This record gives sequence, C-alpha cells and structure tokens, in this order.
Amino acid sequence: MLNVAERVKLNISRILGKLFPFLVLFSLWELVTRFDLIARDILPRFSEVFLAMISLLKEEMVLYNLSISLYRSIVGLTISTVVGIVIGYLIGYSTKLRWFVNPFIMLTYPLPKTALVPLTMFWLGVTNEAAIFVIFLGCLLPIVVNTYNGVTNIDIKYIWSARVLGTSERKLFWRIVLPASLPYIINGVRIALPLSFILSISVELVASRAGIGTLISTYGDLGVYDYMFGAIILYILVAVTIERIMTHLFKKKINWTEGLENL
Amino acid sequence: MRSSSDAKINFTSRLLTTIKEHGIPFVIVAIIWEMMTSFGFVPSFFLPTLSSIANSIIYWTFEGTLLNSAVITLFRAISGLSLAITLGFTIGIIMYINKSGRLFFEPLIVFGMSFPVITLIPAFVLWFGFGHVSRILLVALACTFPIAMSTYNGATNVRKEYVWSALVLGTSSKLKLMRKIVIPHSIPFILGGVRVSLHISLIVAFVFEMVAGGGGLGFLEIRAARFFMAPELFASLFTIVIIGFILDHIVQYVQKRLLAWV
Repeated sequence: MLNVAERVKLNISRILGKLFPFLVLFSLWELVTRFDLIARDILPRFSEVFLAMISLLKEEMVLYNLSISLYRSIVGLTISTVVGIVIGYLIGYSTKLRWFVNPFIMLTYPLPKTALVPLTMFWLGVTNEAAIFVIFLGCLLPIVVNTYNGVTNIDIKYIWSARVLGTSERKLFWRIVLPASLPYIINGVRIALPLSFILSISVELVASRAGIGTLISTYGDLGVYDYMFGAIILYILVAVTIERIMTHLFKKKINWTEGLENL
Repeated sequence: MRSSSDAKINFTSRLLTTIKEHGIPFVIVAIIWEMMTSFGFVPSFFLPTLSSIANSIIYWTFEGTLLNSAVITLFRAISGLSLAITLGFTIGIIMYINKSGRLFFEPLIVFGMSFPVITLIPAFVLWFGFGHVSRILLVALACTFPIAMSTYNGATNVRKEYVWSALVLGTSSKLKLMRKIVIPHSIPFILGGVRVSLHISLIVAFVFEMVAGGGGLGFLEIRAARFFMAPELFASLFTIVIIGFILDHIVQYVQKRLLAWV
C-alpha cells in the first residue's frame, strides 16, 4: 500500500508524462514562429495565442457563446437519448416494428451525419432549434442501435431465472432488462457525445447567430488569428475534458457487462 | 471450384432476397410520402414530392453534376484517408516497437481521438487556401488518430504464442517478425479503424465543402438549402446517403473477404 504522499507524487509524474508531448509541440510551435520560419500572419506565436486565450476567458461574450454551443449539444443529446432509448426498446421488443424500422436504420446509419445540417437549416432556418434538431437527428441512431443491441444481447438465462423465481413481466423490465442493457445505452451516449460537439460546431460554422463556431469563423474573417486560435484551443479543451470525463466514468463505474470495450 | 457465373447468380439471388426482405418498408414509406406531398397535406417547400426529387436526381445524373460532385468529394475524402492510413499505420507501429515513441504519441492520440477537428477549418483555409490541399490535409489529420490507435491496439493484441513460435523457429530479425507475424495479425484491427475513419473522412469533407465551398456534394446540398430548392436538397441528401451506405459496405466486404482466415 502506498501512502498518500507517494500516491500524489506518482499521479503528478504520470500527469506530467502525459503533458510532455504537448509541451514539446507547443515549444516547437513557439520556436518555429519565433525564428520566422512560418510567417506570423499565418501562424501567430503560441505565446500570443495563449495570452489571447486568457483574455478571451475574461470576456463575458466568449463565455456566453461557449455556453450556447454546449447548451445546444447537451439539449440535443438529451432529447436524442430519451427518444433513442424508447425507439431502441420498442424495436428490441416488437419484431414487426423491427421489420419496418431496421431497413431505414441500416441505410442511414453510415450516413455522414453532418450532411443533415443543410436539411435542418432548410426546415427551421438559422435558429437555435435548427441546431438542436440536427444534433438530435445525428445522435439518435447510435443510441437507438446500442439500446437495441443491449436488449437483444441479454442472456436469456437471466430472464428465465427471474421468471422461475416469480418476477412479474412488468418487474422484469426494471429488474433485468434495464440493468442489463444500461451499459450498452451509456456506450451509445458516449459514442454520440463527440458527434454532438462536431454537429454543433458545423452548424455554427455554416450558419448561426451565436456559438463558439460562429465566433471562430468571425475572428477568422476579421483576420484576428491569435484570437481565432485562442477560441479554437479553448473549445477543444472544453470538449476534450467533457469527453474524457464521460469515458472515465463509463470505464470505471458503469461497465458491469463484459466485452463491451470493443464495441 | 465455383465458376464466376455461379457466383454471379448467387449474388443476384442474394440481392433479390435482400430486396424482398427489406424493400417493403421503403415502398410503404415512399407511397405515404408521395400521397402526403402530392395531395398537399405537407407544403412542398417543406417536403417535396418524391417524383420531383427523382426528377432532379435523373436530371443531375445526365447533366453530369452528380457524378462530378461525387468524384470531387470522394477524391478529397479518399486521398485524405489514404494519407491518414499511411501516417497512422507508421505511428502505430512506432508506438509498438519503441517505448519512448509510445509515451510520446499515446497522449496525443487520446487527445486527438476526442477533439472536434472541424473547429480547425478556418485555420486550414488560412494555411492551405481553398483548394483540394486544405481539405485533404484536414481529413488526414482527423483520420490519423483512430488508425494509429487501432494499429497499436492490433499489434499489442497479437497472441504472444505466435511471436514466441516465430522466435523459436529462428526469425531473428525484428523486421521479419513484424512483416510475417505482427502486421498480418493486426490487420483486422486496422480495418476496423479504417471503417471508423472512412465515416470521419466523409463528415469532415462534407462540412468543409459546406463552410468553404469549392464544389462537391456538400456544396451542392448547402447551395440547394440556401436557394430554397427543396427537390435538389433532397436529391443531394439521398445521394450522400447512398454513397455512405455503399462505401461502408465496401469496407465491410473487404473485411470479410480479406479476413476469412481469422
């Protein structure tokens, strides 16, 4: 057993080891621009970008745009989680519905989801609802398919045992089906999460009134490249942090089904 | 031995049964769609009739627009993907062979797998202009991480017994060990990574075309949306759906065909 101080030391060295490649890249960036190997109008120095990022963090407007982007992603993802779970359970239970819905899922599952952006723009205009709707549509299928897999992959012995032991059909869902399929559902959400970030950014880059993507492209159009890179790095940091937390939670806490990592 | 005509018959009959099994829902939805729209229950600028969509698909097909745009988009996506396969494979193998290589690349890849690459579109336009180069490079950047990860995972998952046997039987050079054992056995994983990356490459290619123009299916679609041309919008969307489906199935077919021995 390690004592606390040793464990803290170990963790710090591990984190430093993980940060090392980034430090190398950033110092390379700084050196290359410092010695004018790349023109400064094309790639601002890393130190400038870093300072720009710090000053962006102080601006209320930036935090507002960032929160709008995150709001869209999270609301869209939540709606598609709810709807996706319902659809997934329905096609998991009913063979007739599965017969009807499956061909459409098979056909549209490989669709690159960003192709839906013009469609929702066309239907709902340049609005918040359009952004949320496209995120909802894009995240729906991974969740539906994973829920469905979760329902159909339940070991039939669990259900038999529960029935033999006198579980009623209604309780069967809460006691067996839900817990057994939950890891699959969470896995679907985990797959959909980065997709929701990508979709919100692409909506905002194409056409939007607010959001971090709009901010990035505005800075790009104005030629304020240090602020543009600052905003890009800021959003990437937020998105990666959320994604890592989700993955960590998934791996450590919810994964009680074996063999799901390779899905 | 099966003759090629045999295989052809087999393929057509399989296709027919697939259509029989899965075709009816499409027909039902198509009939409902056509009835709803042509009787005016749904405004035609919201949902155009299927016949008008088919009309514009046919028109575009004969005019050559559809083929040209598809070729442009696919050229960008596939060449970016090939670049990413080369680069990602190399990085994955370096990570497998060399410990400090692994320590260096692993955090970068974990980071790269989860970051939204398309935020870099304005930056790539700035660096590489509006031509093919910026698109191909961004696609390559987005796809390198999953392929590097899957190559590394594949190489580390090769069964130790194979490596030991090869060593016992006298495979002395490291290069030969890689070529004969490690790489062939990690191909299933690599192909899995390629399938994921194919999807990513199309996503990036489409968004890039929507944001920065320059031809291609994404541009065709966003232009239709901007000018409120509903049939054209749906025509390009349907084409994209079909292309995505076909490409995905090609990779699946290659997976099955190449990996029959696994």
